[in-house]
Amino acid sequence: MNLSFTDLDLGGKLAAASDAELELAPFGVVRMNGDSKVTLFNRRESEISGLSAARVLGKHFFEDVAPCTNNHKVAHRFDQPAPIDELVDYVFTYRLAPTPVKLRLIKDQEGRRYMLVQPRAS
Amino acid sequence: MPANLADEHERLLEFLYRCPIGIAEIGNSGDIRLLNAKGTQFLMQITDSGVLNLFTILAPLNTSLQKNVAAFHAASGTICEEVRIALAPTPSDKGATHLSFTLVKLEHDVIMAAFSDVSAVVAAEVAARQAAERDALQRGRIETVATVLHDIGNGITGIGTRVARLVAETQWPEQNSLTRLRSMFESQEAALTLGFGNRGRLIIEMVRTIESALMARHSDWDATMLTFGRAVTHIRQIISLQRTLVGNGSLGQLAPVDLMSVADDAVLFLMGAVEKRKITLTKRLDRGLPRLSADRTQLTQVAVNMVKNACESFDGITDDRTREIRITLGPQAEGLELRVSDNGQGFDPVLGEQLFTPGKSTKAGGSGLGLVSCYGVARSHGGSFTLHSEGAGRGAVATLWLPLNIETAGTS
Repeated sequence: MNLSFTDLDLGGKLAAASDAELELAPFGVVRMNGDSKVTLFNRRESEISGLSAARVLGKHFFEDVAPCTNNHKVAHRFDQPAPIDELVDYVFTYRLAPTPVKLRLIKDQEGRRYMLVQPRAS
Repeated sequence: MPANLADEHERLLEFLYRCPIGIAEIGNSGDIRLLNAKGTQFLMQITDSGVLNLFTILAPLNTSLQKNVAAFHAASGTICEEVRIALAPTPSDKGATHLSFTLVKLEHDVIMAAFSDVSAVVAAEVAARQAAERDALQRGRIETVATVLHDIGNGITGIGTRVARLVAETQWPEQNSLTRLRSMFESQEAALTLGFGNRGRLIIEMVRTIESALMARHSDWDATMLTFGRAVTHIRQIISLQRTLVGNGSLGQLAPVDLMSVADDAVLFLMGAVEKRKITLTKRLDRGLPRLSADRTQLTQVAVNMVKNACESFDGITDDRTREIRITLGPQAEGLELRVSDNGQGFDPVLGEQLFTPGKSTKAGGSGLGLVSCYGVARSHGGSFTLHSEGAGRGAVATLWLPLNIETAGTS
């Protein structure tokens, strides 16, 4: 399956994709369950963040993995009722280096949450 | 990188990333090169446009960091320490209100910035300053009251002296002269009649009338002066009592005082008021408490005032609640605390602030000096006096706290 960051129905595609397909996506994929615990952290996201999937799986993403996103711009958006699909310009500080990124935040009716990450020029 | 080294590296990275204070590496122009999570959270609270330049982010709030960096010319060292920056309040976010920044230059164009949330410290400082201001205001009010009482006292003393002199003046010389004139006319009645005929008799009648009118006026005057004298004495007593209570923050005779007996005395003194209002009064006074070196008279007056206020708090109450006053005495924070609580009419807590203002009272006919006196006595003993109510109709608690080692506040 060809996954594109800007696909209009990216939510539907992500839900239909296998874990292996998400693993190979050309943009960072963080999938969380309804409690914001990480259930998938793909290869691209590991490259961007410098964190290995093994280190973050099962952890609360906003509290224990990336507290720099635990605010109204990112984490709190997921508190809205499903479905949500929003684009946010943000600056990540994974690896401590501020990195401008575009985030796409998706929450579907089944409660799956995705944070998709695409580096951008500052 | 070997696997275990990579793992160490990642751990170190996570350690810095999750450090509970903000850490950043910036260049001379404020560009952020490294920033950990806490730092991101703090800065994201200020800006929505990305955490890329510290000086740009802080510019709307404070430019002192930028100036400090520009003015620092050494090759390395501390640029500034604990520079506080107030953040604009964001009602939606319960974030920090004040950040404290420390900048250290590591080498050319490499500055480490550490910043933390000092909101609680700032809030505590503000509260302490406000408390000090309130206390100063209170002292000012008490000094004003003391001065006013002093001046009124002097004025009243002057009036009293004059009134006493007028009362002592039992003989009026003009009255004596008139009496002598009347006697002379009476003894010369025959000659007057001869000279003036019937009008001679009329002159005598006229002098008699004037004389008796003057006598009536004199006795009126005496009665009025006596009333004045008594009123002046009463005013002088009140003023003298209030001056003792408000004092100049000074204490009278210090002697070991057993607060329990003070509380007992106050209750005894007001037993009539308690019974008249059908109040159930309970006492829980700890026995064997240390005695305080204090002015017993003043403390008794405070205790009486506290119990009296509690009694009077039921005067506006018309419902059939069980009227209760509870008096407790016990140790509290290196001192003793006497507490009188009632379930009477209470007051609006906002008004509570004003109750220590001379002249303010919630009671019809209250002088508004009682609480000021209580506060003054507590303060002159190095203690505190507070009156608290949850709101109108919900009772009140008066608390007198006195330290075990009393340091006298002023001697004049």
